[in-house]
Amino acid sequence: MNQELQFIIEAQNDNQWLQSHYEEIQRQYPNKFIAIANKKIIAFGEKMEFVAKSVKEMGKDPAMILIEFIPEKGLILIL
Amino acid sequence: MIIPLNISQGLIYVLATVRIPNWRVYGIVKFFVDTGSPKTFIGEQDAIRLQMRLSRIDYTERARMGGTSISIGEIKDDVQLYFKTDKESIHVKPERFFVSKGMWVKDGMVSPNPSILGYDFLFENKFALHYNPSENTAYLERKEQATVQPITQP
Repeated sequence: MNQELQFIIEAQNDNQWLQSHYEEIQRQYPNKFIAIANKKIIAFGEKMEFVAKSVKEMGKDPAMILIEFIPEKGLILIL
Repeated sequence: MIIPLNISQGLIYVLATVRIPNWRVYGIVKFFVDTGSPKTFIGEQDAIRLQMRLSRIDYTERARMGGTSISIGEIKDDVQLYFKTDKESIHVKPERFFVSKGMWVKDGMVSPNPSILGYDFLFENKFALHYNPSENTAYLERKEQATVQPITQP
């Protein structure tokens, strides 16, 4: 399996975990960015820069980590 | 060839890796598939996470999105996107790729701009979007081109 595929599969696993726990996470982290690795929230904050820095300090690459903005309940995205 | 898509709250998205060799940028990005967007772009917050040097971007264009307006600037260097497919993975080079700047605002609430896979990407790369909300399924499909054997004279 190539590296790109491996990264996508890992991110998909973390994304699936996020989706299945979304309501609970939304209650705990409204309007925050959260970083997820191996199906765990490893950092959170109000700004992407802060969360990315925290992830970096853990020795992980924020570019390869799923970092999501969690809007407060009732805020929907309309494209 | 099929690229499976994810659906959440009625929005369709895909996880892809983005590589910009000249910028030494490489990372995972969640792209929302938006056939209403004529352009494909990475949102500012994703760009920050990928440690892109945003000072290199010349934000020359304006776009309306979700009731607000944002600025977009083109990355003039080679951009490569990788997607997981039903077979393994596919590597696609978008003809044009942009970065958006600004926040998405609706009813006083603020949200970061998402990264978008627009109509241009689907059109240029000959992808058809299949979406069935009632079955909660979505995918991009590209028909494999038939190989034409040259006719050789006896």
